[in-house]
Amino acid sequence: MEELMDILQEFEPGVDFEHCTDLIDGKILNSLEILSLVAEIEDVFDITIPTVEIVPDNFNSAQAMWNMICRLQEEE
Amino acid sequence: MTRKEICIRCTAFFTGLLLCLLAVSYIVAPKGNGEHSGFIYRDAKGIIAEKKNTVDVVFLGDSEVYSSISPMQMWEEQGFTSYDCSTGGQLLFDTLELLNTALENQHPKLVVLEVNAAFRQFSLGEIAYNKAGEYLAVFRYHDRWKWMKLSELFGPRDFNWTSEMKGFRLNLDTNAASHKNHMKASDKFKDMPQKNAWYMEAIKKKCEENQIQFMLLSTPSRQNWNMKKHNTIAAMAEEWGVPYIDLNLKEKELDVDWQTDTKDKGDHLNYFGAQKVTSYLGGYLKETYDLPDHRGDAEYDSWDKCLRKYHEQIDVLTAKLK
Amino acid sequence: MTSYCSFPFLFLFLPAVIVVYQLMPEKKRPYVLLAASYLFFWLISGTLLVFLLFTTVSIYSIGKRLDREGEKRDALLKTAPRDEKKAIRQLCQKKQRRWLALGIFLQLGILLTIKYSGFFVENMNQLLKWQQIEPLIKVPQFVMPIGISFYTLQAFSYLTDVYRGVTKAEPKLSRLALYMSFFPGLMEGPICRYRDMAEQLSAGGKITYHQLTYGVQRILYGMIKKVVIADRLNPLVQELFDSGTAYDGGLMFVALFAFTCQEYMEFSGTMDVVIGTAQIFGIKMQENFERPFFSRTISEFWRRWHITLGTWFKDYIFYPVSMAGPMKKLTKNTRKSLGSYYSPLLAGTVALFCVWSLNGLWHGAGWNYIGFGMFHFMLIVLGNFVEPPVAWAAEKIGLNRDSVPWRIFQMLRTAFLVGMGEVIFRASSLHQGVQMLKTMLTSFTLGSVKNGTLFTLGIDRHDFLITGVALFLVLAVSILQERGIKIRDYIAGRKTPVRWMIYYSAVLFVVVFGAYGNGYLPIDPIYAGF
Repeated sequence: MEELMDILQEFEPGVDFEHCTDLIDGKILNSLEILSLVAEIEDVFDITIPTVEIVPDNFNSAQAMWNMICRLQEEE
Repeated sequence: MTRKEICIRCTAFFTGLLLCLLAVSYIVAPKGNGEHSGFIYRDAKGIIAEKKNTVDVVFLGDSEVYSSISPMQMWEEQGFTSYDCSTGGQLLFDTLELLNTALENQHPKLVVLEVNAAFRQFSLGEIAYNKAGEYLAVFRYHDRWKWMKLSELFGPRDFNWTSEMKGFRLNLDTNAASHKNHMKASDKFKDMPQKNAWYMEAIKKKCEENQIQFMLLSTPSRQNWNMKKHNTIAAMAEEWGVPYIDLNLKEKELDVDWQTDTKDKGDHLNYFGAQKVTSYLGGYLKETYDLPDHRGDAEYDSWDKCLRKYHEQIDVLTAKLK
Repeated sequence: MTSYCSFPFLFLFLPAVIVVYQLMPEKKRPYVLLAASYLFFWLISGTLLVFLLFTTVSIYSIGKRLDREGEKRDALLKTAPRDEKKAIRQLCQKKQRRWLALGIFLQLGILLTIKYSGFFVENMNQLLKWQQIEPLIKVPQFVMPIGISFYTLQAFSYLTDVYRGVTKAEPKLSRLALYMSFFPGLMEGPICRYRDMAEQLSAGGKITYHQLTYGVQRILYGMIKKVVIADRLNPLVQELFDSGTAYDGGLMFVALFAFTCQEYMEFSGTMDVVIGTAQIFGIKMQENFERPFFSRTISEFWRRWHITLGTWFKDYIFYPVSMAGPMKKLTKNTRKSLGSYYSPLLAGTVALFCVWSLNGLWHGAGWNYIGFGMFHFMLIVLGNFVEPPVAWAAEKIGLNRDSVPWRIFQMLRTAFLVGMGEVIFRASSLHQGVQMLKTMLTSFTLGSVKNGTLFTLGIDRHDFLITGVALFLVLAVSILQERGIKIRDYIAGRKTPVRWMIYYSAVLFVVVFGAYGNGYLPIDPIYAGF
């Protein structure tokens, strides 16, 4: 989780990732930033995020992203 | 909120709305039927200003009527009075409305329905819109906010305008039609939409109720009429026991020349064609329906005045032509 | 019944449906909506209803197939040893992919044949002509079932979502049928997602006073936009685009402004009527507009204009393309050299190209629509690429990019660019559109405005006046909405006489100043043709 927070903080300083729960719905992250974020996460956690997972529910908060990462790691 | 409350609220709301619409209707409705009044169907509805019970024959129908039947000529030749209650692109609900308007003040001996409009299609929406406009003028005249003057509101009402040509429209243009025979023999029938048939029936009934003789007529038109339509109307006339004459089949008797007698390639007749049709039709109606001759009757002075103006207009237009 | 703002829809069809719906027991109500929807479709497109029925039945059965494969997989996964799991997943995915492909092939096949075959054959024949070969294929012509472009996208999203496991396949055919045909959205969208609609559509709740009044309010607001503004501008727009460059640059600018207004008012107004209608039945459809002309960039504009189409393209075209294997590799490999801003931009640009080609084509089979798509594609890409240097430059010269004047400048610029796109969109050909823009930019004069020619082009001074008043009204409402003020709740909180006066004024405004009746031609809705 901390690794993820590091990525996010570096990505968009000034956003309160710990508490924000509408990163997508609130238009804080746009689609290009998602692309970049996905690439970063895949690199760091050594997983592949399939297109299916690119839904607001999985990216709206840091916790949601973390849950997705854990699930995908398990499925690997 | 209880159900009762909702009902009361809705009723109150819509009553208020209706009152508003009536008020605005009052404001925008034309205050006369003359030239600059904005009155819709001015020519066709000019019959409201005719003296009570002085019109013997009412012609209903679309542009074919005002192009080919001249009431002034009939007056001059036969002595009975008539009026063209006709509008361009008429739909049958208009026809019925015009008939009702005509009967408000007149009790004609005969109503003649030109049936070109009988096949023109219209939608439920158009009927609804027309009905709404009949009762709430705002739907028909809402655009008049552009031209209205405040003084109109308090000025006098004046619905005394009538058409000097009694609904006829004088046109001396010539645009020859093709040589093709538009009445080629056929035993097929053109379908009439149900809504149209319903209105045809309603028009006939209205005449029956008022004990007015009723007949169907087709005036010559190369572009609009054919044998299939003729067959449908002929069958309808037979079923009803109502006379039907189709002048498209009497081109020889009429001597219509499609090179000189049409203003728009056989769509409508011009004045020259109208003269022929009016002569023939006038004689036929006079004879068949035993129509009165009012010529010389002081009651009908105004008709002579109109006739003089009619000739003046024709002279002006003929001079222009040369 | 040609549009949602027409007399028969609002005064005959809708009241009838409301009454029947309310009289039926809760369980029957969804069927009332379904029957009304099919009746609506049939009234407009007649027997072409079979296309909709076929699409519905085919996605229904394929959806179920996809689900069954997934269930089989889950059952196997429970008992399978860990090392076999991957193989099971892959096998299932392979099977599911085949079903999905079949489903998409069917939907796209119909749409391509009906909507695009004419365009493709025509262009192919043109190509052959250049090669001096006599074209052999006749240009096919089809009558389009109403709303096919919209419901096909809904079918597509349903199948894909079931495949992705985002939503379960619908076990009840009637519910899926209602999702596909729900009459308010049938003609012009919004393009809904199954998971948002399923529950609501089958709820069958009673129509409450609140729903009815809020729904009717919304419909009224839409009517003002559509009947007073859009329809009144129509003769002017028609004249200016029919004659094209016969007029001077000043009038071309008027054409840009008038059509942009007309289109926005017509489309968003219709959406107000649509969403208001659905609201009466307690169904919340997704908003399609969020005051797009307050956008500061083209990208933002497209997140606020025709939103449901934008998100559709994002979810089903943009991400799949930009996340495809090779694209991902590209992003990863360039991360070091280009940094985290520019590296995803490459893949993103490729994906955007696909999105905008398809977006253009979706609007219609014609080169001007493709031109329209490419125009926006270029603007967005340009915007993305110059963003960092502009940010840097702004900082250097001390420009506050969040200051009010700068924001207003951005909004006006964006609106103007969008307007240019709209000219290409509305023009009879790509060539004409480009010519019109050229005239506008190279020979701009105010001559026609000064000498009064402007007022002879189908609408007079009075029309301009009333259009202006109505536009101002919409602008005022939009500014309040933009500030987060809930106007409708404010109105609802007033005393009855005040509230009713507002409603009466709105109705009378539409009735008196609407462009309908004698002297106005009936106007086909722009978006229903897509």
